[in-house]
Amino acid sequence: MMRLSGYLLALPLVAVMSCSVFDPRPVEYPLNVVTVDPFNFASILWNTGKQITKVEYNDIFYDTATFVFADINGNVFSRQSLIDHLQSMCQLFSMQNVSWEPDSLQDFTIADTFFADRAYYVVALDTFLIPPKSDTFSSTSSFKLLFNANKNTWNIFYWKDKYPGESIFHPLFEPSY
Amino acid sequence: MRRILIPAVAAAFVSGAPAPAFCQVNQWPPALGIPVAPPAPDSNRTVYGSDQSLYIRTFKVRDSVNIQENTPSCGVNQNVDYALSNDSWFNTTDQFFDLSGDVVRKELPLGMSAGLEWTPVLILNKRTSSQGILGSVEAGPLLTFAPFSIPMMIHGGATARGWNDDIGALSANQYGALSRDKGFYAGAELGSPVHPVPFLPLIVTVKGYGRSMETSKLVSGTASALLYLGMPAGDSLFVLYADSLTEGRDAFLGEDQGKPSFIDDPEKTERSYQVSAGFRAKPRLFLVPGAVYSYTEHTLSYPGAWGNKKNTDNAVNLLLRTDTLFFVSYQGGIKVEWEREDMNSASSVGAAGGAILSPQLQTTDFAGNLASLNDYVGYRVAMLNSISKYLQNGMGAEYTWDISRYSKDYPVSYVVNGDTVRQDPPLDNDIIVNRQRFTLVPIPSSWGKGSLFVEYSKNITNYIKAEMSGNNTVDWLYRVGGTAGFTVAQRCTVSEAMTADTKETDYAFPETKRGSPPPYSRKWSSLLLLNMVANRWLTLRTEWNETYSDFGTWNAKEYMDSTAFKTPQEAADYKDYYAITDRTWDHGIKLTVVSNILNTCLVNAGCSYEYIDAREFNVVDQTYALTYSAGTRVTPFASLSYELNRQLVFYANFARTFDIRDKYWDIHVSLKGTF
Repeated sequence: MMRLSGYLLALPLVAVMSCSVFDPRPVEYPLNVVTVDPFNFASILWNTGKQITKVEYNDIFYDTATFVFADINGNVFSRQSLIDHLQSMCQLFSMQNVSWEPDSLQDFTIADTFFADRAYYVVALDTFLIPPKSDTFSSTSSFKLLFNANKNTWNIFYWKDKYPGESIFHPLFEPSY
Repeated sequence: MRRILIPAVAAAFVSGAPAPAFCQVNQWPPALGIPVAPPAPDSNRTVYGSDQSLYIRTFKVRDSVNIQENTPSCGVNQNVDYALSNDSWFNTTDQFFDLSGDVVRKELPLGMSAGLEWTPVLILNKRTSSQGILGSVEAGPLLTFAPFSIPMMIHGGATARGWNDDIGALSANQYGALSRDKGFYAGAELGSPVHPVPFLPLIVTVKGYGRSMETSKLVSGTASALLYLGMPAGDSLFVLYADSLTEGRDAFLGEDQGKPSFIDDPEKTERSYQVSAGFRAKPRLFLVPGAVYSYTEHTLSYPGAWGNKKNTDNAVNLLLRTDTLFFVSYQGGIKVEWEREDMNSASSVGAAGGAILSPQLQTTDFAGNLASLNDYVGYRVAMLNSISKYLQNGMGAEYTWDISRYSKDYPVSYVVNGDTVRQDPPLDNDIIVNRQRFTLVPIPSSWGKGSLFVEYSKNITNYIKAEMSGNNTVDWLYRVGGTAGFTVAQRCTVSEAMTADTKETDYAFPETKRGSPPPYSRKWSSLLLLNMVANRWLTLRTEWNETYSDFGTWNAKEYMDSTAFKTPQEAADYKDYYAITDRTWDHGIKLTVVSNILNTCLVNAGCSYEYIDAREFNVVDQTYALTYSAGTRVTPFASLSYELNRQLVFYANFARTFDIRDKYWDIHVSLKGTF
């Protein structure tokens, strides 16, 4: 009888301890992730007293924004093609030491448009390679940002990258290795 | 939204359907217990009850008289019920009359009793522009007897109903044509809910009722059988079967689009049954183990309209507790359940040959059957452990651990034009609740009352699929509190109860919630009671209540978006903080004079005062501004209760509240007499 009671006492405990029945199941990574701003676009306006809106690319870039790259004469890219490219870069690379510092030219504002030139520095680390391999991009860009009175924030509606060649921002950029 | 008023007899049978009894997983289910016979009421009595109340704009009346006269050869039971509910805000008035009763001649041959029963019911509902009336009556003979000491009752007779749901509320001349319906009813009851059948440890009850009218037909029945066996070793075995069935349709005076309407419900079949078996061992080595298995099934079918639904549940419950002789008290249990819901709604075929789908129950082809995308399979496991030790002087401690997991999956899908269609969004989820509480009574009861407790709770809500997992949360609740009560002078006692808690939420994936930090809240409350006995008939009571609560967001860095920082240094220096959006201080005091007159009459009179300082954060001027719910509430009140030899009980309460932006009465008067 003593043995029987011992078994009965241990039964619920064994059931719980052995099966991890109270652990949650693994979950899938969410689809609706807001971009964490790996390119640090928010810092374009640091020290200006202005703010870029939320860090989703659709919020940062104005609807009809144009993007000009130095190696393509007269060709511009649409917002969506740039966003698609930036997202694919974020999947391929881990961005390191991204900075946007004021260039020698002074920022200025005309009406609801803010003009800014920035020197950027980006280290893109490909963690899929063993050992990891990094690439560095640095150049300057000219920006025009439009004021959004409803949100009290600014959106990029013109971006000219002066990188001599295809920078990591270029929609036709491909890793060189 | 329709409010349902089912005629009394039908309602009694429908509500008699057995439902799975809810109990904690560490307690023996009450349904698997030997029922105890209630004390028999006085067989000759008249009970009168009257209850009137007015609260804000709702006035309610309930008057009843029940006359029971029994002699060895004759029994009379007559009931008079009247109920009124009037809401002056919505301009509605509902009235209900019931004059049901029966008369029985006893001591007939073979131990039989025979008589007549009648159930006249009148319902009158009035709305702004119209009113409706429904009258129904059932009347016929009844016969009771007890072959082999098993009580049986059969009854039946004629039933009739008349109604009009298109009566102008302003003039009786606007009465439309009165509709009529007639038919018959029959019913039977077998067995006693508390006494076993002869020679067997088996309690059986069966009830059935059927009604056939021109507009509706209804059959309803319940049955239950409980077998309890005492094993030779002292253990016990219980087996329960309970079933209920309702088939047909009922018609009643309800409400549709704000007007009284005679509603003819669609034909339905509803069945619920439960099979349970339990084993309870006798105490051995201070331990009392038990095990219960239960299967329940509920089906609801509207064949002509909305399809049907089926719910099944299998449950295994293991229990263990210590007996009273053990030096500590332990009570624990674990319960595992597998449940399933299947619905389908396609019951007819459209002109093009396709099934007609009801929008509420989207249907699809699943394993050859029509099924709904909302069909689910559930898995639930819960464990509750409680261990306590209290000394004879009242000191002691208690610890409770309550943990559960509830997982639901929606497995149904179908293919249309090569695309797989599933529930959108997919709601497959896990909910895990983990609560722990420790209570300490550190002082002997002879010193006074005192206790301290600490409570911790962690709740996880996880959606499994990627479309929803961004909403996954973890909630933490921390709560501490205590009570203390002492006699500070010969006729003065003081007591204090205080709690403080914090609730914190974290999103499992902060990257999905940029700019939307999670909620955070705190609450503290204190209740101080002072009781002063002036003399044997006069007592003064003071209650002082203070409650502070606030609510806001936990602004952790991982939830910030680009608008949060204006300089790199600001981002580097950022520290997580609690941003309070709403905060409330509730100050309340209540003074009461209690007078006990000759131990038969208790008079309470006093006044309560409450000031609510409710504020919310104004982002423009960065201050906490008073909200609409801030202000003062004053309520003078008086009540009187009088009881005479437990035969006559009178209670009256009057309170007038001068609220923040309103003033209203709370009046309640009741009288109950038994003669």
